[in-house]
Amino acid sequence: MLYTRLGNVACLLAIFGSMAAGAVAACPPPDKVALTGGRIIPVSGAPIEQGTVLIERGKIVAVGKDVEVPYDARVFDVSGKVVFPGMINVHTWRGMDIPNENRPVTPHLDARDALDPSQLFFEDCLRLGTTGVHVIPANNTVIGGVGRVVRPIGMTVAEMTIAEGAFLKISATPRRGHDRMLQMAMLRETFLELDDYLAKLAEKRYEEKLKEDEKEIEVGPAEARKRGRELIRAEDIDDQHRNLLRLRGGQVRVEGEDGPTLFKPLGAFVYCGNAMDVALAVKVANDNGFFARTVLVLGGDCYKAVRELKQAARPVVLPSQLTHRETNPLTGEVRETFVPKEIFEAGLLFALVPGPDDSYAERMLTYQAAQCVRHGIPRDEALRAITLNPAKMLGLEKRLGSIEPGKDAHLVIFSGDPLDFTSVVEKVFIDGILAYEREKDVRLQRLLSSEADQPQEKAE
Amino acid sequence: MIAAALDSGRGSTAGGTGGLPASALLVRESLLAPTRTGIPSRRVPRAACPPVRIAVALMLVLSAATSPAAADDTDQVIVLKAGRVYTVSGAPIDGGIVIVRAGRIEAVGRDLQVPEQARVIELADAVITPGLIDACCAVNFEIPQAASSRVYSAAQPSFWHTLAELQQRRYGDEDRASGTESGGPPSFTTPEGLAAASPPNLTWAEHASEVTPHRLVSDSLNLFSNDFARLMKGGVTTVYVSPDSASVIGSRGTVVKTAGPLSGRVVRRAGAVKATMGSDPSRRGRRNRRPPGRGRPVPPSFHTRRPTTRMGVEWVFRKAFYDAQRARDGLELHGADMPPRQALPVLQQVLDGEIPLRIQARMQHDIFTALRLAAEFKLKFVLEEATEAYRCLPQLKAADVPVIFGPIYMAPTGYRRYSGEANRPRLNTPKQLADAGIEFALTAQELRDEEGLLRQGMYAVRHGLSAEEALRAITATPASLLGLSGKLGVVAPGAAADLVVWNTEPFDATSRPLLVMIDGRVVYEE
Repeated sequence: MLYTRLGNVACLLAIFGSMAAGAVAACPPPDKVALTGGRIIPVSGAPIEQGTVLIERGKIVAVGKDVEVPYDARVFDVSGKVVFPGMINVHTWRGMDIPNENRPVTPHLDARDALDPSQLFFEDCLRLGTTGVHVIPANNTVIGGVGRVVRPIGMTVAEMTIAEGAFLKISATPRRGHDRMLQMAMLRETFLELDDYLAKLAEKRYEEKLKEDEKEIEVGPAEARKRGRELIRAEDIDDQHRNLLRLRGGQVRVEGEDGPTLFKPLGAFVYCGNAMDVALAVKVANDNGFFARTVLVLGGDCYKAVRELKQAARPVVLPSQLTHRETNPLTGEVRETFVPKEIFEAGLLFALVPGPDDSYAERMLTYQAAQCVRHGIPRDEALRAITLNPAKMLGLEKRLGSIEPGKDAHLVIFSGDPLDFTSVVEKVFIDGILAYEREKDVRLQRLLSSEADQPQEKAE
Repeated sequence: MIAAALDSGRGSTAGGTGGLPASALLVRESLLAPTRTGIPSRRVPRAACPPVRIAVALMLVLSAATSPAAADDTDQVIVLKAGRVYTVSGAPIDGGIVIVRAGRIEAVGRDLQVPEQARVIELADAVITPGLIDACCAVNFEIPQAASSRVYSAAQPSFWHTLAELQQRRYGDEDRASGTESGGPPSFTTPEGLAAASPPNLTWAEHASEVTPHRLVSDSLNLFSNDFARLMKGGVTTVYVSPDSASVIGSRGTVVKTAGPLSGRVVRRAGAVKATMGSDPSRRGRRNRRPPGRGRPVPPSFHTRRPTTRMGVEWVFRKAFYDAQRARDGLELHGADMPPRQALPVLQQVLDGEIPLRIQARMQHDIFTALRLAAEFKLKFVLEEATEAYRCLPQLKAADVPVIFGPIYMAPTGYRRYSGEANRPRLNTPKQLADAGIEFALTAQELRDEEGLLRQGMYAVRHGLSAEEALRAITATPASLLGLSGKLGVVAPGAAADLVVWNTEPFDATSRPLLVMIDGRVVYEE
């Protein structure tokens, strides 16, 4: 068994009983776990030699050299190993069965419905020490749907969930074969249509109210729309418009069960495929009030818009190919630019994402960070770019991204320094649950064996 | 003389082509009346081919003008001082000094007298290794005119297979990239899209026949390809440009340096003959050039290119060498799969061990087939790719067959994935080869940068190979497999001054080249 199979009937009932309680409640983690003797790299502070991490009910309760281990804790001696925070893949469509809807504007979709817990992708996440995955619809779209932060264990989406989707995918770059004018027009139109939808809804509600009160309409449509605004109820608004409203910051007050409320605001992961899209993305975000909750997902040559990026000062997700190559069409010369260096020097909060599965090394976040160190980015900054920075972008910095008391116990035990390529992931703890052990990784052991795949021995 | 200038070492063109550059073969073939029975004399009537003479004269002039010895900056003595020098031929030297004169390494050691007026490059914490050598490199030719759809569609049926694969990726495959950063799979309507969809070594296969050892990859090699600069910046200084696997007995590869003045780039014009076992040659013939999934499958017909099965591949191989033996004995050749006349002298040289042979085989039974055929004709050969070598270790050891292994991957991609032959890789095969005492080199083939040759060594180290063995597998061993032992791939007096200076231990993930030197010239400096 590769990872701890969660879930019995009671667990499932618990999930359906309280979705909000989420995965932690789904399968209670062991009471107390202590990891002793290892070198702790908390990312948030200086490394601790031969330290202890104490975990209680899935949360880190103590980190340090002189932590007393309770008598009833399950102790893992990790002497000679390195304890590192679980890494976070901040932007991926992997884990969904199909990354994009064919229709261009689909803000009502949710990655929740397409997440496939059985995908090998999640197994790979564990194998490489990634414990938080932000699964969000892909880039071939205009408005693509809501993402979700999951952990790579669990049999159902509910069990996997770390946090509900808080970001909508928007593309400033059109899909292949489409043009930018249409892309931008569709984006604008979407928000205009939202205004129109709300206006009509308000008018309708106002008219209905007058009818109830048996009054005649005495005002013009504009005034009716204004007055009816207050009368819109939560259930009036369909999924599509609700998410657009949330994106705008929930400015519209709606009547809910517990009185008038605002929708919980949504942020946006805005994909900029090319440098020219950065300014467009910033404008769309500003015009529609979600700029402060925007994360920019950058394509290959977006570092060229570093001035705009610096001005916007929003967090950025870097392309998985860290070195951008460009051929001069006149001379045929190839110019190479190491993208993280440009972004780092601009002082932006950035996160690294793993390369495609085809790549052997780049699919490891640790290798991506090592590449940054290779090109002169300070080691601490590189380590943050795969742990704490993505946690901050997702608004989960209080739960994930470093080894500190109070945080969720997402921990990776490396055999050596995480940036050393000979180091391997030996164990992974997720919410205190021992989720991965290298020696029990059947698929990996197969790749490391000298045996043929199907032994010829057959039962007589 | 030309042959001497162009070819240094064994496996030169000397015997087979009468001392002429191989481009002369084309001229010769067109001038001689085709004969069914005999083989043309090895001596070519020189008067019969004046264009060749002009070419020879031109080349002489060119080589005189730009020969390495006459170049300016190699006269200067360069002294490299580094924290550590991996000589590969001996133990590493801490605080080592390398003295380079006239394109060669003059001395290497710890306490050496630095010559006066030498340019001293001092890199205190840096590490020096020999320039890396890829013994089986697929170079991206980047010839712009090839990027027209007409040329592509005619070039190679495998293009359609690639296309089909990409389409398959687009629809339904869970892990592949329908949401890629570039916004989906490449379009096939543009030259760029076609280029992206095509395998990197598209033109390296000659389709005139299944047996083309008389054709040279060097004749179609674009030494100006940007790929060489990319290789060089990854620390690779010498590559063996290998033909691809589309023919049973394919063309002969070539050994070139990745940078430097043009006259010094070609180390060996005509290298080993490449043969392929398995389904790579047969798969390309079977479909009558119709893309899979387009229309009904066509049964084998008059137009189907042979062979169509592994049996056929093996037969074509056997028939070629059998015919070469018959021809040498003065016997008549007959039968459908007769090799071209021009191939026979080359095949005879392979039989005599004058030209090295390489056989690509991925799966266990294909490796066994290669071993069997080699034993049948008493051939020495080098095994290429060898994905399932871990299943044939005793046999490879017993037959004393060196292996050029690589690339290392968890799951095959691109053309390899399509071939269906590479589904059972092992990450620790290099370690297993080393443990079994089999001589092996590592190759990255078409891969670059983070998956390039240096990184292949790094992967091997991750999975158990010692750093020392890994370094040898990308320097000295490939040099020896290319017949250039002692001349390349080591930091030792007398060897060519192909050196790479790294910022740290080369197999560290944070390593990058600070300086690359080829033949005593600094071709890259950070």
